[in-house]
Amino acid sequence: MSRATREVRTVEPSTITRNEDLGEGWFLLEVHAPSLAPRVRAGQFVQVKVSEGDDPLIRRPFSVSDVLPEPGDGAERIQILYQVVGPGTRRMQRFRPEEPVDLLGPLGNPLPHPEVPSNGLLLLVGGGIGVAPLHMLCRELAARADAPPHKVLLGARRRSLLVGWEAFERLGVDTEVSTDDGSAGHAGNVVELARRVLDTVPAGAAAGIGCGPHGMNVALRDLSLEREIPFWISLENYMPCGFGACFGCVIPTPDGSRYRRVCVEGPAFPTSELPAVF
Amino acid sequence: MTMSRLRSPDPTAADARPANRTISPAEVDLSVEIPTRRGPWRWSHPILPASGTFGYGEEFEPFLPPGTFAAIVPKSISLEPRPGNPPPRCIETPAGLLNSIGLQNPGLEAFRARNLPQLRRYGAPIVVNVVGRSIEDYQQVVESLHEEEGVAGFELNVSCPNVKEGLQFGLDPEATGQLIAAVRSVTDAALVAKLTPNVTDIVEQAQAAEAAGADVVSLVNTLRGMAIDWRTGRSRLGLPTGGLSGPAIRPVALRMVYEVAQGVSIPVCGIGGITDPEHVLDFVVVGASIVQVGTHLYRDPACLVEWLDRLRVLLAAEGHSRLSDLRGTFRAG
Repeated sequence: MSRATREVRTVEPSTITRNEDLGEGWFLLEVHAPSLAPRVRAGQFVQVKVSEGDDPLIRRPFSVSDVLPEPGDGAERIQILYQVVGPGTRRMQRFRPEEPVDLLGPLGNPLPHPEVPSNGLLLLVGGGIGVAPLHMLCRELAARADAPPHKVLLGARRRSLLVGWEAFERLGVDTEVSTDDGSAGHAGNVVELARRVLDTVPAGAAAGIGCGPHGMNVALRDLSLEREIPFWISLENYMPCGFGACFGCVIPTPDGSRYRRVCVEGPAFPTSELPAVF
Repeated sequence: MTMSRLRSPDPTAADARPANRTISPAEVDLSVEIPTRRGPWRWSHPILPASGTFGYGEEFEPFLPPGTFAAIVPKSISLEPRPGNPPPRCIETPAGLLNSIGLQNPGLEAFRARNLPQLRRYGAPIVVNVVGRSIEDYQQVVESLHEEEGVAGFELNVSCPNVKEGLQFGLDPEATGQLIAAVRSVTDAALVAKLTPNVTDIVEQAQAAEAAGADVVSLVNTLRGMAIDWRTGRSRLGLPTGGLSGPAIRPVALRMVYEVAQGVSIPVCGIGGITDPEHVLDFVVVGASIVQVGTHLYRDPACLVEWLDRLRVLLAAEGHSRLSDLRGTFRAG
C-alpha cells in the first residue's frame, strides 16, 4: 500500500462551497476541506458520502480536478467534476453551499510526472469525466519551472460536451479538442487526434497519460503499445470502498493470472500492465 | 422452520427493563464472554468486522487502530491462493451491495508469512476465516494455524454463495455437521460456523454445527441475488449471481438470528446489514452475543470508535448497566 493511502483520514467537517450546474448534466462541486486539500496530488480521488441514509448506500469515487487556492500547503478547497448518471449523483445534484459533506481521501496513488526531452511531448488525453485528474496534473505542472513540454487533447461527441475546455485554456495549457460531429476542433475521435499529434513528435520523445471512457482507454492503450510510448491510463472502476478492503474494483494482469485492485495499486496503470480487455 | 421448535418465553423471567435508576454511560459494561473449548473469549465489547470486508486489517490502519475491534476476522483463507472471480465484482442495489468477489486470497502460506505477523501487531485476537474445497483443506488450514500466537479460533466459511464448494457444505445439515466434526477432530481451538441464509431451514444448519462441535454460530452470510441488464440480457456482475449484503438484508438476518438463538445453546454471532449501534442492540435483543459489521465499513471505516460510545449512551438512557442483560430479551407476545 502506498504511503499516500496510509495518510487517509475522514475529513470532518467539510463544507460545500459551490455546486455549479455546468450544463449537459455536468456539475462542479467545491468543498472546503482544509485538512484533506493540502495532501491531494493529481490522480488521487475522494469517496463522497452521497446520503446519510441507507440508499444510496455506498460512497461515490471522484478524481480531484483542482485544489484551491493552489495545490500543496495552504490549499483549503477541493473541486470535483461529476455527471448526473444515477441515484448517487442525482442526490449530489441537490447539495447546497454551506451544507456539510463527508469525504474520504485522498485515496489512490498520484499520477506520475513523466519526463520527456525538450523536443518531446507529454500528451494528456481526456474524455468525459477523465478530464478531472488531467486538469489537476496541469495545475501541478504549471507550478514547476522545469515542467516537461505538454499538451492536452480533449474529446467529446459534440462541442457542448467538452467539459473543462475553458479551464485548461485559462491555465494557459496548449489544448486541442476533437468532436465526433466536428462542432469544435478536429472532427473525429480524440485517439485519432492523438495519433496525428504523435506523428509530429520525434521517436522516443513522447509520453502520455489518458483518462476517459472505456473505449477511449482501450484505444489509447493499443496506440501507446503500438508506438512503444510510455503511457499511463487512469481507470475509474466502480469502487465500493476505495481503500483496498473489498477487492471489488479489480482488473486482471496482462497474463490473466491474477487480479489487481484499482483503488490501491492504481487508479493509473502503465499501459504495459493493462490486459487487452480491462 | 416450524414455530413449534421455538422455545416459548419463560413466563417467570424478569422484565428486561431494569429498576428505575440513573446510569451514566461511563458505567455501562459492554463486555462479552464466549465460552470455547480453549477457555472463554473475554472481550470488552461485542463488535467484530465481518470477514471479507476488513481485508487483512492493514487497509483500515489509516482510519482506526484495527485492534479496536473485539477480535479481527480477516478475509477468508484457503489452502491454495485463489485469484477470485472475473470483474465486475460489485454492483450497488437498493440499500445493498451485490458482490461476486470469489474469495480472492493469497493462500495459507502467504497468509502465515505476511498477513499474520501484521495482524498480530494490532493486539486483538484473530479469528481466522477458512474456506476449502474439501474437508481435508479445512483441516489442513486449521491444523497449520491453530497453535499460532494470536489466533483465537477459526470461523469456518461453509456458506459463500460465490464459489461452489463452500455452499455445498452449507446447504445440507449433514454435510455441515461432517465438516465441523472433521475439523473438531483435529483441533480444540474455538470454532465458529458461518452459516448461509440460502437454505430452507437455517436452524437445522445451526443445530448440526452445534452437535458437531462448533463453539459459536455466525449468521448470515450474503443472500444469493442477481442484477441484470435486460437490454443486453447479461448480468451486471462477472458471474450470473452474487451475494447481497447491506441494510437490505437486515430484517432477514435478524429473523434468522432470532430463530437460531432459540434453537441452539451455543452463542450466536449476528451479521447482516448493521449500519448503526441501534442495530447491534436489535441483534442482541433477539439473542446474539456478538455481532459483525461488514458492508457499512466501506462507508464509515472508522465508525467503531463512535459506536462504542453511542452504545453506552443508548443503554444508559434505557437504564441498562450491562449489555449482556439485554441479550435474548425479545418478547414475542
